[in-house]
Amino acid sequence: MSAPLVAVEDLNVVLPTGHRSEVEAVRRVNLVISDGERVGLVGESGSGKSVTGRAIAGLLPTSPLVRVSGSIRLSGTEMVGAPPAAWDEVRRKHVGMIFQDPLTYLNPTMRVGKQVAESIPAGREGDAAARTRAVHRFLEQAGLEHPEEVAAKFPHELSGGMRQRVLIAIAIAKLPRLIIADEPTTALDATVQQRVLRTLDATVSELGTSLLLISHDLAVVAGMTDRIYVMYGGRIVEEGPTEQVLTEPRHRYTQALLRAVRSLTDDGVELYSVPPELRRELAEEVAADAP
Amino acid sequence: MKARLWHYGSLLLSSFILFITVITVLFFLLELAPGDPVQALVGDVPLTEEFRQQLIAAYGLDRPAWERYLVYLGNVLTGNLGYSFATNAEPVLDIILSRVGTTLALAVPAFVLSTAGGIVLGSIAARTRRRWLDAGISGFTVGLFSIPNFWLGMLLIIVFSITLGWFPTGGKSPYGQPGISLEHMVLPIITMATSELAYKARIMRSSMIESLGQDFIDTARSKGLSSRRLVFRHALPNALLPMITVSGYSLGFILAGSVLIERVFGWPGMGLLLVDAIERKNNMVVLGITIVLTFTIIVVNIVTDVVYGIVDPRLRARFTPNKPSPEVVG
Amino acid sequence: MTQQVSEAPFPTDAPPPKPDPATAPQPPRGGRTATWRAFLRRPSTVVFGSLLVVFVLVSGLGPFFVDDPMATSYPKLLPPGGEHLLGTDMLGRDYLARVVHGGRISLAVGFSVALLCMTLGVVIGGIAGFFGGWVDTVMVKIAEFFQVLPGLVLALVAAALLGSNVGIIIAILAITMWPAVGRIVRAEAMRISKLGYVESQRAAGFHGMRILWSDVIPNAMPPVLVATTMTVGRAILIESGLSYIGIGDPSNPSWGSLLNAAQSYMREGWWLALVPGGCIFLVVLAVNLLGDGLNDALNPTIGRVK
Repeated sequence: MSAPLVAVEDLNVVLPTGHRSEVEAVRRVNLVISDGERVGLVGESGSGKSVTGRAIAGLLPTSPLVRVSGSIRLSGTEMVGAPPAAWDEVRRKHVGMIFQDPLTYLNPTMRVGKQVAESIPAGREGDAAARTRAVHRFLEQAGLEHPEEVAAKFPHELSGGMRQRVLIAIAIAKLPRLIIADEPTTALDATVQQRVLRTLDATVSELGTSLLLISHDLAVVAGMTDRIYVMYGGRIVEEGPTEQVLTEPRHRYTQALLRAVRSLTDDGVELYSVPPELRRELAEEVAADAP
Repeated sequence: MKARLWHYGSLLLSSFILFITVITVLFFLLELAPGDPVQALVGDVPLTEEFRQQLIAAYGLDRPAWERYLVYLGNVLTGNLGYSFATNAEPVLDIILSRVGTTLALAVPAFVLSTAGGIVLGSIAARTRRRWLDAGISGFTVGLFSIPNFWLGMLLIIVFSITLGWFPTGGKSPYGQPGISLEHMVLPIITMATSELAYKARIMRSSMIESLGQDFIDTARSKGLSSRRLVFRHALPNALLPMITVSGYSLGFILAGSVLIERVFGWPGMGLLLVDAIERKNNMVVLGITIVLTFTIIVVNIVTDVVYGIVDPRLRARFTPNKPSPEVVG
Repeated sequence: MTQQVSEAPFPTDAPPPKPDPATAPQPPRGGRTATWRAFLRRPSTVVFGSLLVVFVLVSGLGPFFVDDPMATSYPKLLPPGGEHLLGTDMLGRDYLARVVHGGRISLAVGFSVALLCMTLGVVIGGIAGFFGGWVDTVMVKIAEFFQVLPGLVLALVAAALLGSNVGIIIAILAITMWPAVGRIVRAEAMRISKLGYVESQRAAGFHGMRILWSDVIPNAMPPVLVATTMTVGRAILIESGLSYIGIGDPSNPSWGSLLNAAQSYMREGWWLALVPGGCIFLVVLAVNLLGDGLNDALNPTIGRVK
């Protein structure tokens, strides 16, 4: 059996929070993504899910104060401690990233088409005209009509939903084996959210790429993934096939999270949010778990 | 497009108001000047009683202040800056215009050098991982920033002209020769450029650090771009935007500073003219130079704004005033 | 330098889980005393703070110990060393005495201008930001005015026309330089005036000036202090420039005036130019570095992350 696309073992990430203070944002995380698999990573803000996603793409801040330990293997190649050039290679060809805020994550001074073109590995499409055609193709694939016009625009001239689609186009333009989508629709309003998610769903199926979908929103992840990891306080508290996690959640936090989602969507269920007692208990658990 | 027109319209209007305000302030300063108003007008020149009466009549000195103000304002706006009585009653504007080229011969190269140097130095300081280099550049720029510019010029003269004899001590060309000679330009340009270079390097450093910390840099990194491309195609263009505004201000500072530097090097431009005029209390010339300087600076400011509008694709950004303030840069 | 360089310490969408406050290391912003302690402990603060204190002491007390700066009783243009530590000038006056007296003027101008700027900036900026309306519009216009036009030019013309004694020069410099402080206070006052509790305080009949005093000023103080510190240096530099081109106070020669006189003697008396200029440089450098240090202590940024 060949090595899985992504195998994360015992990952620890320590981030600086001040001159002399730091926080262990991710603690002993294990996570596997197979070829073509869609995996969800759920947790509230600060749970370490974004940091985990960024670690897999090698996109943690490049400060010496950021410490990563454990193992991240991409197709069997160990990437923890790998030289920057190796990471560049991975990001150039294999891993695409979609970020949360479509305005700040696009360069305001560069035309959209150029930003997509940059993501196409050099030499893949041949001459400049072919590259331009490819850019239009990817913009279209990401659900943008009139790609020629969009390509000539600057990010501020597009709507939020369109910008998010541009970010999707950037991620797929390299024909990656894995797309990491970090809260890809959180910044959008509800109706646009649905449409963008459908596009993401369609493109991932079309390209046959693996997907790591990171979100605080269990509902978003539920409809899009095969397997789910639930994170709390920097650790993974529950893991399993999406169906199973949604129907028979084992961990108290997941249970509470599900109940909260249901209370919003189902009629006749009283509004519910994760109660403070549970948070306190979980915090104690996390503290007791500290090395 | 409409927003654009509206913006430029209001920019022109506010620039015009600014210009009028300066003229008004100058008029009041002249009014407040102690001593005989006729002498304040012509400077330290002996006057016959007859000429005196002529002047009073010509300038309406016997009429009320607001009337004189309107006359003065009208004159300035039509390009009449008065006459220099100390020098054969030449029109002040002509005297000044004959010096403009000489001043720009120093100011423009100093502007170009300091801008280029500031961008390079600031980018290096922001980008380097070697703390000593960043600290070194920062220390160097604070140092340059704290030197009285004209004193630096004096030191350069003592070291390079008097002691080593490499450059002439002053003037714009060897004695008796017309034109401007290159070796006379070297020291004054260096002197003028240094403190502006320090100022721009500091702004550029923080601008570059800010730019490198932006979210879109993460997107660029996610494409696996080389760090060269990351800096030159993504971080730098964004970091340069504030530099446009800063450069506009800096040209104003250079022109103002040229008053001092021209005195140090005996460079016969507008600055030296101003210093001479102050010494002789030739107030029409003093006011005239101030008006010409103000006018130039206001025009530069408008040009800066237009350039910004062309370079920054975000129209929006032009209407949110985020100009870095030069006054608090230390 | 008050560019707020935002360097996000985290790529996460939100702050990390809060560590237990009892065990978590205190951030440097822990409190006012901690900030000041951090500032005072910096090596550059110690070195340049002491330097500044020495200059202030020498300028303040020096005049009682040195010779009469006006006595022309010595040989002309004696180089430094021996009986005259800094030599004598072109008229045979003891140069040390002249430099010490000059320092008194330069420093007095620098500090008074800064204090005036702080006062004007706090009062006008506070009122403009807090009450808005036409006061605000006028203040913004005035600030723009001085931002576009170099203060040097205006100060120069004003001093040239109005005559130049130390008082007039201080007044002119303060008038051209206060907007730097005013802008900061205005921004802070605008922010505070929109806060809920201020609205309620207003509704409860608290006087606007009182809120200005109790809320706006304490919050705006850190950047105001930095700007004021920098103003000391800039005022000294501009004053020296004015004096250098001959519009200083003739009866109270500052360091700049000494440089004016030295201009014609660079060949015969290098020390005449070197010493006063060096003094200006050191004082301004010290002030700027203290301001920088203050800025760093008040706005701690975490090590560069990207």
